[in-house]
Amino acid sequence: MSISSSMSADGKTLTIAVDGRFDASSLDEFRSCYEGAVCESPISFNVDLRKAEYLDSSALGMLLVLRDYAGGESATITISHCSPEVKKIFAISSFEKLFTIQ
Amino acid sequence: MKILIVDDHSYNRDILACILQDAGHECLEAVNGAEACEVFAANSHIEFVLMDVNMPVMDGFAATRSIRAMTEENLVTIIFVTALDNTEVTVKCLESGGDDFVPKPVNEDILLSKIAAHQRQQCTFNRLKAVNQELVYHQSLMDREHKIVEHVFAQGAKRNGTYCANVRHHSSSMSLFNGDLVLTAPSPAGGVYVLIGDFTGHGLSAAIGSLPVTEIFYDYAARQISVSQMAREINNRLRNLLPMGMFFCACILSVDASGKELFFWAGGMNDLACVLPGETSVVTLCGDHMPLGILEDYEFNDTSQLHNLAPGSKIYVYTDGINEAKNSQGEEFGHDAVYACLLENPNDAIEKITEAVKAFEGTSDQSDDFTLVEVTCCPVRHFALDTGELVDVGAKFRNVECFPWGLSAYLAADDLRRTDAVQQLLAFVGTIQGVELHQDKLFMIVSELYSNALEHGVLGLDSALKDTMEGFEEYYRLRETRLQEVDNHFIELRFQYLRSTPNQLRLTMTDSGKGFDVKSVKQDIVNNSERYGRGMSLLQSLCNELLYSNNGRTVTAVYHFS
Repeated sequence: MSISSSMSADGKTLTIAVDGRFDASSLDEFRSCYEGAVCESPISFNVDLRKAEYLDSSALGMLLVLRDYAGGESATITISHCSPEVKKIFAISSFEKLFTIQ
Repeated sequence: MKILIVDDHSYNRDILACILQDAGHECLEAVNGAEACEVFAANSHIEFVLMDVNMPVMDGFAATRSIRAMTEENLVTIIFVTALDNTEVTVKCLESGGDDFVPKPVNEDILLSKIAAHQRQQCTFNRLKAVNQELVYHQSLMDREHKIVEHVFAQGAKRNGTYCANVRHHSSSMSLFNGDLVLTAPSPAGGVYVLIGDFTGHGLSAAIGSLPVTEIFYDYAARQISVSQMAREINNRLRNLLPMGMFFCACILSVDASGKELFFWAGGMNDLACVLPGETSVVTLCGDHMPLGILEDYEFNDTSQLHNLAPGSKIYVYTDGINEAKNSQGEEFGHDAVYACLLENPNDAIEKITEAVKAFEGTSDQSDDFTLVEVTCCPVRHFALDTGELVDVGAKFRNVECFPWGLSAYLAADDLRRTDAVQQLLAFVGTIQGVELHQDKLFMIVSELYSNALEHGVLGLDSALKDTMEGFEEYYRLRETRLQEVDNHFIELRFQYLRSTPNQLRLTMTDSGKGFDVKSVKQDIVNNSERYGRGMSLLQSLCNELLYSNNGRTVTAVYHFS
């Protein structure tokens, strides 16, 4: 399991890519990915789950913490490359209302 | 280090003692196996024994076995000092409990380096032992804490003094610490409230979150408060209490005393599965709210659903530990397997699903990390926990006679901007004797009528907007803006309690809006149009009479206290 992050060329979108299991054990790694990102200008986040194998409720919790960090309601967070299973998990908890799921 | 030298020849003992004392060790001596055992038993902290093989009275093998039997663990290292080097003796030395050999005649360097090597092993062993002791200590501490928490919850569950025959459930003994929670409470009107939930996280933190939930649940159930209000209160409490990122997926439901009406609010849970008598497929009910503890009060949607179910229908609610249970190939058990199992086993679905999931996982020893609840829709019966006798839980409320009362409220400008107007009014009305048992339904009626009067009447919003995602946001944006411009507007509510058979409550609500064409909307309602769909059909099933007048600006609802 590993999580990596990269900033877009224009410095406005931080992409966090999750590889493998996305659960309680990812907590520190996930947080350190965005806490380093300086939020001087409005910035949007993209959580790329293309390589994520599994996602549990603590992963949902981490996404909520990210949303709060990024400004709560004013946050722009896209969760991309969700598998049908992952989409179902987001649907059950109505997370589509808080994040843009792709 | 304290070393015991066992040899029947004093010459040998003297040489060994001399070498060891020079190296700084303390020596004890014994002349045969029997004496070795006595010395060993009388002296604590002997860490090493140098053992001869052939001795009178008791030989080295028997002495080694005795000494081993005296120590619980391999705390003492026994080294045989022997001139015999055939296989049979070697094997016998090890079998009797020896750790190593030193050949006779003894070479000083070999002896001391062997002792040093074994000393290193003993150090490692002692460290491991210390760590292990610490683990055992923490384990017992945790077990104790678990017992305390279990006790607290067990006491909570007992406070009703009754159990409901309509509700059956499975949850493992560790479920509290998996974050799962199942609560059942009788409603004063004779029905039953059930809460099934799942906290994020495991361990004590999950159990701690359960405490306020339990308090609110029992408190509200005892006052016949609607599942919507229960959901809102739990959401607020958890939102303030829990750290960001921790939340509570839950389904709160209530079944009325007749067992026909089901109210439920669900957020973040699997769909409810209903098995209706005579049906060959499962009907699912979807609660599409956010889990509790995430949204702010003003964002929170407490809309609950009402379903009328045929007698004998069974409702199942289960946590994702069931559908996400995995077999050795990593495949999930899945919802379809759950539904098939429900249909095949109408009478013992709980037991059968529990067995099926365990068989699917293929590991009988694994703790079952899931919760499954079954609610049967038939007249609700409560039994005393201690005597097992049928209990009429609403007895003390039903015989209350109420005086005829009336209440009116005129809400304008700032009052209309409040988000808790209905809650305030109902908190008031709900405490009037004779109303207690009907609070939940009255709340549904008043809040539905009030939001119609405010949003469609005063604010002139078109609910058709809510059909699309963009429109949904637009609707709430408009709602906010227009609420700022309601200075000349009002909503007037009149409650009137009428003595009759049965007693009735007449609610008249008038708003300052433009009104609407009562006839055309009526047609829409009859046609069950989506536009007025859920709210209106809910009202019609709850009220005994529902009448619009004054060009749609006034609505009169009559509710029978039966």
